[in-house]
Amino acid sequence: MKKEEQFNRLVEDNKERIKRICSYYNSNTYDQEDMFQEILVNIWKSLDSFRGDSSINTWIYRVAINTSLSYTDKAYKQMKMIVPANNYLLNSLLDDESLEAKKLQEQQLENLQKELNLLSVIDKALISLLLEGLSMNEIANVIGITESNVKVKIHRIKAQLKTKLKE
Amino acid sequence: MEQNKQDTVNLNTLTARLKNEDERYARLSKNFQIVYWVLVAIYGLLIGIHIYENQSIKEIAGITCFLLAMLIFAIMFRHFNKEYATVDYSQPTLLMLKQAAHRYKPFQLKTIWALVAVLLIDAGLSLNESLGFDLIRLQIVFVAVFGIAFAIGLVFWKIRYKALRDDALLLIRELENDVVAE
Repeated sequence: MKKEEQFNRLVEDNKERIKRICSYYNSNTYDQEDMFQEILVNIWKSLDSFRGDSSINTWIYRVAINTSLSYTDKAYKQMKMIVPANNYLLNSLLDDESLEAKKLQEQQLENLQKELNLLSVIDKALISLLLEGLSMNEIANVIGITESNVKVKIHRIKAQLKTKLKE
Repeated sequence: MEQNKQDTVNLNTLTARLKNEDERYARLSKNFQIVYWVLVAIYGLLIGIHIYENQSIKEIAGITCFLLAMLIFAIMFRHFNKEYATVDYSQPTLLMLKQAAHRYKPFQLKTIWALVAVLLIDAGLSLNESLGFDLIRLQIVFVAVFGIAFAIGLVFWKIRYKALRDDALLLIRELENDVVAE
């Protein structure tokens, strides 16, 4: 298959996933589009090295996360993390199944949003992968650290978030 | 439907642009390499002519120094081109960051090769009597030019790459925190 065809197919199949990653990092539609374009450029640049050693999902996430880190070189300190108002996702971060009251959820989501924005760029990357539903092993493969280290980091971030939200 | 059409159009434009850029870069890089290898061939030819004409050993040694310098530059350019043209974003993040930190180091082992090439040019100019340069004056000018070029390079690195390297090192430190013994 020609590079162009492979690229077009890969992008078509993973467009929504990439857009979601972009939406975690930018609230502004134009910035999301810029980042989306930058990820596509880097997919193109890295396509020659795709040997199929890792799954295509891992490969796409690597390019997306690495681009977000490079992209945010420009202004990563101002980078915000946007979490969709989704109860399942909120619970996956807080490990709290008992959040029933809508009002409380909204309040918690707002607070969570604030706290997420205070996380470091690496922690934001880890959380974005967790929100994408990746397993610890898959996150470890994307980031290049061991599964145990991912678990420790995620546990620390969750504990930090919970403490802050209880304050 | 309209949105899908829009996406496809944008994707096609982007793909065409990327393909053109790849081709342009490959052409540019090939042309640069051709220039270096042509210079190597010219100096090789000059050595042959000088030997044929029984020129002094100093002259031949001088041209050989130029040839070796061009050879080092040609090989370095090829290596540099491979390393910088193909930043692989599909590597694990930690590895990509470590490679970026290495890439943006101001002094690397290959810097020594560039220094050797510069010294060979200096030796070539000094040994080549037909150029008629005064040896002391030549060394003063050479050291001054080299010093200025070095300072410009360092300032350029500080403006353009230091922040990138510092960011990469910061992220590496952060990723390597919380390390658990396996």
